[in-house]
Amino acid sequence: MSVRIQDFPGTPLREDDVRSGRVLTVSGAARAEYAWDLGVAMTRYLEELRNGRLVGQRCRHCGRVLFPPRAFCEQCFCPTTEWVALPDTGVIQTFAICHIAWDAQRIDEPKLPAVIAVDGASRNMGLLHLIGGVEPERVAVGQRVRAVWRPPDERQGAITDILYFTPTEA
Amino acid sequence: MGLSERIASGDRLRTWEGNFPLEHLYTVGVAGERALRELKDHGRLLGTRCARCEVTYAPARLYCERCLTRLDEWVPIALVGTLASYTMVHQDVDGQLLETPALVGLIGLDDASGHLVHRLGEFDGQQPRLGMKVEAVLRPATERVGSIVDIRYFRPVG
Repeated sequence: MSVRIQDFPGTPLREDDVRSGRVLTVSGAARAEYAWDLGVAMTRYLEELRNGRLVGQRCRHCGRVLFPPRAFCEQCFCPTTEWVALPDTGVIQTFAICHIAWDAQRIDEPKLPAVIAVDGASRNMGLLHLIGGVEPERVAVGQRVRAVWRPPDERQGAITDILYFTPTEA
Repeated sequence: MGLSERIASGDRLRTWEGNFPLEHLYTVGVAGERALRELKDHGRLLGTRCARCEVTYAPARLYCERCLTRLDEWVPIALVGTLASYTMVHQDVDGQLLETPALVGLIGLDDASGHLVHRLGEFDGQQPRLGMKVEAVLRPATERVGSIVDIRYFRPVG
C-alpha cells in the first residue's frame, strides 16, 4: 500500500543529515552486560562440548532424554539424575536460508540455521544450530547430519565448539 | 526434593557472559532544533505557547500535549527561574559511586509552565533552598553544540 503514498507527512532526513550535524541529535549508549548463571546441567553440557561429546539427561519418571540437559524435568517436576551420552548425529527438523544477519544487515553468503533432532534425544528436543558444507538448495527436512567440530585446542566449552552440522549423504 | 548434583567449587561454576550493543540516537525534532539552535547561536532558549491551554513549553515543542494542537507561537525564554526541588546525586547510572557528588535541581523557568531538570553549580557550600532564584551559566559560544548541556548549570542569583 505504501507505494501509493507519494507525500509522507513529517520531515524526511537522510543519514548524512545526522552524520554531518545538519540536524541536532541526542545520543548515548546503555551498558547492557550480563552474566547468566549456567547451573549444574548447562555447565556440564558445555564442558562436554569441549571434549567433543554431546550429553543429555534422562528423567527417571517419564523416561524422556532431555537435550540439551536440564537439571529437572519440566513435565514431571522432578530432578534429573542420569547422564546419557548422545552421538553427534541427527536429522534436520526444519531450517531456513537466511540472507540477513541478526542486525538485519544483508549478508552475501546465506546462513542456514536449522533445528536438529539429535539421535537418542526424545521428541521435541531440537537443537538450534547451523548447517554448513552444502549448497543451500540441497538442504532438506529429514536429511541426516553430523556435527563438524572445531579442532580440540580451539574449543572453548561453548555451543560454537560445533562449527555446523553437515549432511552425511548426498 | 533437592538437586542431586551441586557445584561445590567456584572453579566449576560457569556463567555465560555477553553484552548487548544498545546505542541510541534521536533527532531533537523540528521544535527542539529551533530551540537548541537559538541556545547555541544566541545563548537563549525558545519556547512555544499554546494560547488555548495557557501553557508555555520550554524547550519548545511542536504540539501541545494537552490539546494536541500544532503550536506556532514562539516565545523567548529567559534562562532564570526558581528552584522547585533538588537532590545530591552520589551514583552514576550503573550504580558506581561518583568521585564528586553532583547537585541536580528542578528549575521552574520564569517564562515557561513546566520545569527543567539540570545541574546546579557555584553553590560553594551554600545550602540550596526551595524557592530561591537561579540563573543559567552557559558554555562559551565557541564550545556550544546545540544541546541542553550548552547550559553548564544553574547558579544562585546575586
